[in-house]
Amino acid sequence: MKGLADIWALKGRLSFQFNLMVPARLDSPLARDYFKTELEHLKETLENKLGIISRESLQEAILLFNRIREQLSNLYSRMCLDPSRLSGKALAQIVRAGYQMDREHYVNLLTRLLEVWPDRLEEKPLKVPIFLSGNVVHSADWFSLIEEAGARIVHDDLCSGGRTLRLTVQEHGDPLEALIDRYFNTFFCPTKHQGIYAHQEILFKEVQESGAKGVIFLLYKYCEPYYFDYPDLKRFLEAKGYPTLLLEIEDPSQSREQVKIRLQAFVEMLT
Amino acid sequence: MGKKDTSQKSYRELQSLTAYRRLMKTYYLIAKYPKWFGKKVAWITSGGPVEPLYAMGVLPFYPENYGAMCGASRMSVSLCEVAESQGYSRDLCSYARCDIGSSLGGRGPLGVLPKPDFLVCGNNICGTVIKWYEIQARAFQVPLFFLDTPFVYNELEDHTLTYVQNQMKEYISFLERITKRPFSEKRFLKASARSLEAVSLWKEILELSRNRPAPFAAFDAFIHMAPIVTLRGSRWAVWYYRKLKKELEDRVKRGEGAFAREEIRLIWDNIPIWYDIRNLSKILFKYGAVLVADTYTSAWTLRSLDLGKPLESLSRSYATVHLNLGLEHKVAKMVDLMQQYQADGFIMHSNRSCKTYSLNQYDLKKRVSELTGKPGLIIEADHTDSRSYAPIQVEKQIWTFVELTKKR
Repeated sequence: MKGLADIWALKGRLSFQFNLMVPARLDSPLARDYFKTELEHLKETLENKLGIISRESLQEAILLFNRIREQLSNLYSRMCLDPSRLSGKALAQIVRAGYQMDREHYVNLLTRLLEVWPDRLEEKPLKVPIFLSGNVVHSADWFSLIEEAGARIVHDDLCSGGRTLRLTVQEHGDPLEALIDRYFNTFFCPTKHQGIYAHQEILFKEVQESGAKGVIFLLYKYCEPYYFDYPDLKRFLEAKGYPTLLLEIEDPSQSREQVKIRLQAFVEMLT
Repeated sequence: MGKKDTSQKSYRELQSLTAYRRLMKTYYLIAKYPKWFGKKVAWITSGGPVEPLYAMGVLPFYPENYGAMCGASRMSVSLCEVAESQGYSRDLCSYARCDIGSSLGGRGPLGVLPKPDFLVCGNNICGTVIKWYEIQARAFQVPLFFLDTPFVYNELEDHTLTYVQNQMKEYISFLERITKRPFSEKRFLKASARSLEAVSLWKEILELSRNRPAPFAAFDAFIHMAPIVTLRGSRWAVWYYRKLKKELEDRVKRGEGAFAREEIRLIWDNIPIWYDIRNLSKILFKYGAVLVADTYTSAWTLRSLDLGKPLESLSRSYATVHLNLGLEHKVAKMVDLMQQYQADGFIMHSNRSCKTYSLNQYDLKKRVSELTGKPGLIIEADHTDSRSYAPIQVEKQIWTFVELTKKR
């Protein structure tokens, strides 16, 4: 990303660019002080361009995004109970829409969807519950492929999916401080260091809570940090009794059918 | 028994090579059997702050330097395969795969390496090292200290320097806990002074190749850089580079170059192709080209250290190493090298394993050519994994490039 930022700047196509340097160490109060200054600089720069960002407006934005995360979390829970109502592909598309739509409109649509979806179990789901772990998934078709193989995705920690749920912000107190705190209170990305077991611990916790029987690592090329973490994550989960499957993918995929066969074999093993 | 007469050969071997080999053998002996010498060992990244380690009597060991050794001794592919068999992707940095493979398999150019007492990781060279060192911390069950140096796009800002400096203080406390001894300011100043002298000497050595013919080619620098990486902060690096500098100054007086023929002078960008240094050197010489400077070895010419404020000065130096600076800095550096060394062109190694170094190369090439009017060539390889290298193709590219450069 830091290299990309340089290229964007060189090309000069963006009228405005601010490189926010999130510290790579998120286990130290020293990093917190540094990050606070970075965020203050960002705020100041945005204010020079767009006008004052008041405490109240920041608070409102936090509330809005927290509400979005809350509704998405509810949606994930309903998917667990009753996967027949919404496919994994549709869920992925709904999550992605949240990055592009007007957020107020988005949270209203989410709320309406949940209102018509009962929060009780209609009938016991038949498909094998799996947890999907990985980075940014560009194509929602991968979710369809997983479901066609007989699995249902009960939760994920994808950058473009469930990982956003880890970024809930505290709603009381100073909003800027709250925004900083959330980066230090939870593990949200393998590019950051929060102790050598942080990734294993959070993944295991989420897998346990999800009720999944196995974990599929869906890794797009080339997220180096995740690829580095993968072998120890695999060993850790398998030692805890969770079978795993690695799918290294890229778009467009040349080996969709091969992936499908591997998925079917994995699901059969879990059945 | 006189000195070797190198004046008539196509490549003139350095007399200092004997002393170099003895020095590095001694270093690796201590690194392999530290307990014999009563030393604790810290594995540290190449851009990590080594001076506090010397102040505390800890021997630093560099897995990246070890990776280069694995590449040069052509053991890297088999070691990478060990790591890959355990689930590490082939797309990951081959230095890391070599090191992990060596640890898992208990093999390598030095055989089984002793377990480190602790690890020190600085991300001023790349983000890969964070994950690599986390893996080794888990594998060896040893403490890890991580020095975070945020990337510097334009200028080093005050709050960034404060952050790095505060972490350096934290680092010192960490070392006191691990070694169970108090930090010695006196020894720290001594180590810092030696570091300053060694990097100054190294800088002067590299600058001697501004002369025509260049007494010291980049391929020589790739070998002789080992002390500035592994022994920076010790008196041995100072001793060796004084010796090497003297020999090179004598060459300049005699008008002797590293190579007998120097028609084209080129700059190299990126980490060397460790397993093919000798061959590339021969290929370039065949076409009358000499690499006179490079961006990699000159990365260890840290900016001036102020011994009156060593901690702040070291923090500033470590936060602003070549790979931690933005593209405009890299452009300026390449242009400066081209001008100072009167280069006719440049070769860039698009290194599969080093995304940090390689990502911006196409833009860097375009800008440097625009500013200097000189051509550049990009060749694709990997610094340690020879499976990602097509030597015949690269030779053809170099031949074409050198011929075109000669015609300009």
